[in-house]
Amino acid sequence: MTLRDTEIGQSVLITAVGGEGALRQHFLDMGVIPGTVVKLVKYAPMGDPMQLLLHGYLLTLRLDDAAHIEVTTEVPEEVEKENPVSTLPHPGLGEGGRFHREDQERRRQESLSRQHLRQHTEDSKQQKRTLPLRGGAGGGPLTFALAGNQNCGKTTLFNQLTGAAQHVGNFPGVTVDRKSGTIRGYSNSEVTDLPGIYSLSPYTAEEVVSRQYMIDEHPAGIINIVDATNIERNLYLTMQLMELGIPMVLALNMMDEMEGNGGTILVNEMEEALGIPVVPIAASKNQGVDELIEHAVHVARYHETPGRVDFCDPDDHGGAMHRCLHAVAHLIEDHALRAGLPPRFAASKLVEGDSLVKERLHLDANEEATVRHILRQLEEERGLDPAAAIADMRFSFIKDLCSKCVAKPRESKEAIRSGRADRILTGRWTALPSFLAIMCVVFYLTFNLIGGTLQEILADSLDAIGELLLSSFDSLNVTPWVTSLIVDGVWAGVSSVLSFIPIILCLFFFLSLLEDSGYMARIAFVTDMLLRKIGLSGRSIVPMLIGFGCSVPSVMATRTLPSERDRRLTIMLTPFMSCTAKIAIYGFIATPFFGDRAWMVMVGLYLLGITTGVTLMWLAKKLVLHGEAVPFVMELPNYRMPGARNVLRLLWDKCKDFLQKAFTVIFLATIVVWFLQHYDFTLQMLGDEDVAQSILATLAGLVAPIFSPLGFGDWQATTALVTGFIAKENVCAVMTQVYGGSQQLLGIMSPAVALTFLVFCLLYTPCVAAIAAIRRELGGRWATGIVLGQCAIAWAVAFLVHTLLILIL
Amino acid sequence: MNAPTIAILVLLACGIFFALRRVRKGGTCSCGDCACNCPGCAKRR
Repeated sequence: MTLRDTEIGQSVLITAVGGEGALRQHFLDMGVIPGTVVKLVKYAPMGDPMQLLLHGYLLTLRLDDAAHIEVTTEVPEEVEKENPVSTLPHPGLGEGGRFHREDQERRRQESLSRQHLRQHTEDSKQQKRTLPLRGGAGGGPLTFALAGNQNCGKTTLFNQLTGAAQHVGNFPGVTVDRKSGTIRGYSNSEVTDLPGIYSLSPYTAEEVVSRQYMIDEHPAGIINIVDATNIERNLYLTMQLMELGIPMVLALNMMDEMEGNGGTILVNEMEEALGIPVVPIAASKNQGVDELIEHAVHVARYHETPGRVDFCDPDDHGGAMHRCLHAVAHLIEDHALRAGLPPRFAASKLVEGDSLVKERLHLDANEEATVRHILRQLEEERGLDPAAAIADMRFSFIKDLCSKCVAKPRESKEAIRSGRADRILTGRWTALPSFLAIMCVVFYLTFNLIGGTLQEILADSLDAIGELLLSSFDSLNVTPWVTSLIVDGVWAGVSSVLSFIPIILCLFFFLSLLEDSGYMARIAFVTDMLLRKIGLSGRSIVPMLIGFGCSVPSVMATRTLPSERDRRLTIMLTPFMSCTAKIAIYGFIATPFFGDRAWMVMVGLYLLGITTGVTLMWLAKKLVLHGEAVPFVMELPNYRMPGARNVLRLLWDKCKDFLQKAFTVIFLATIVVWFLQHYDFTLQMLGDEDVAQSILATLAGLVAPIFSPLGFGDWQATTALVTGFIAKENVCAVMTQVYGGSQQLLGIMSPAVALTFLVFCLLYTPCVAAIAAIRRELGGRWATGIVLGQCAIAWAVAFLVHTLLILIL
Repeated sequence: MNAPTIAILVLLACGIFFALRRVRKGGTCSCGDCACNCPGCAKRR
């Protein structure tokens, strides 16, 4: 029997895990290992994928992937154990004061194995850091890696650690976010927020980047944050991080939730068992963070490496895993040190079949053969392949640790609440209607009730400022052309864009609410089957929804998709998800022509963009990009109320960035356009009646005939569309300059032409920032193809719409 | 040109200078995250 054959509500015991490569490793990393009890909770509305409960968390899995997992219905009865009671005094790891003894510190340094000392001495020579003291007077800056699973509160902790002192960049060679910041109170420190990962396997860009950072950039310490309410799965990564031999602190996050549900973690016992400082925190409430910082700085400064890196039990299954790992570790020790890898970490990865580590070790033929024999012996003795055996070893250790240190809570309030919400939000008949309803509410609030209202108020205020500028300049007898440049050029253009800030912030607010609350993961679960019809997986819904905010992070978010083909298809689809910059254009044109029903036009445009994109993807799947979507294995976190600070910080960042763009790119563009519009080729200034002889009119006039069949074949509209290539908001700014304002459009365009223009703006080339992001991901040829293709599609669809409207109206 | 006109032009020139400098150094990303590889973004790696 396979997992696919399980019934809803049934619990089964996993007996074998099939599949191969990345999929199988991902199964093992997520705890889908032989001996695990799994319960089928429900199916997605369209019957696939399935939602499973294991190790206390929810996992989604497709039916085709579940068919690889063999199970039995003979589930051993769970024996109710008494909660453990704390008996140990506090070990005091990572603390100063009475717990820090200089003689212990000297002994610790002496007791460092020769390989660690050699490795770290070489590091010191290269990086000119001194041992044992790091940071401050003793040496270079204290650098920390912040590592943990997804959905464990890592971003919240990072924000608490750094406050506003953070900046965002790239990991070299890949477009994976690298957020760094200075720990508050420690100016000579830097903490890097690594991507959320479940393991240090070599299959995803995030995992590879994380381990490369820790091995090659030698952070002074690791801050490993785990979700205390889901500790079993989170500790899987912890064990692999400890094998790196880097000073480390374990932060048990969401302890407030844990204790609120009647559970607790015996911190002293856990600290003693793991040999690293363990600090309970509640990052969202900023509780325990100061203590965490002190411990992290202490272990980094005094180079207090983990007290254990060895998790294999010599008595488990005759010690098969224990002997295997130690044999391999001794065999490859010299190679590991030469390669700059911690020997225990290298041995574990080699046993797992990690090709990147194997390549880096440069073993000779004899050593490779010896390793193969050792692994074969392990398989024979253990009855499992090496990867499954290592995963089983880790989870056995974790289970034993948790039985001694974790006082299990009664079913958590958060899980109960999530279950109740999921009855509707992922229910068979209610999931899709709920999703559509939520998106409609989001758009209605954004374009009408909240965003729309605030936009009107802001627009009126900006108009008033414009009037004030005009009257002030007149009273000061400012030269007329300067008045025209500032008032009709710069201010008119910039203010036409600024007025859309409320709508843009509103949309970003709702999108971040959907993501941070955990609902985005449900959307992916619910839409997986639908997206598979166009060759994508449910994971692609996240970049698509982000695309409604901005195409650039949407393109970057496709990095989380495991297959190249999926990434390519999703990137091609993203520009059809109308971004917030285009809202400025829609509002600018739709409001004068359609009044109170402008929001309906905007929603219609969004739907048209989605429909066009989906249709093209379906065709692309059939004709060009063949193949099936990749496996879909994803955690469903409990619903959580997003932290207000995080959301406000995000909104402030977006607002700041938008204002920056308005007063840089758009400001410069309006000056250039004003100049081109008011001067001819002999650099003579033109009056308003001679604008058609300007440089701008002449150049745009060469391209304008292309748009004649669409009804807007004049140089003004063409100029606006061309400047939209730099930034979409420029379209409004330029149209204000060349036409004189949105109300003036009523005398120039018919409603049908206005709608056609909007359709063209919806579908034509994305802005230069998005194209640069696409070029980075897919290369120049694909980026050029997407630009030209989108312009052609925009023209074709706009022509169709224009023709239909002419016939109807 | 009178004094107010000159003052306005000087302010405009300063604005253009700082805007050009900002565009060159970075901060024109439409996403706020300079991992976006916007042209001219100095935070790109």
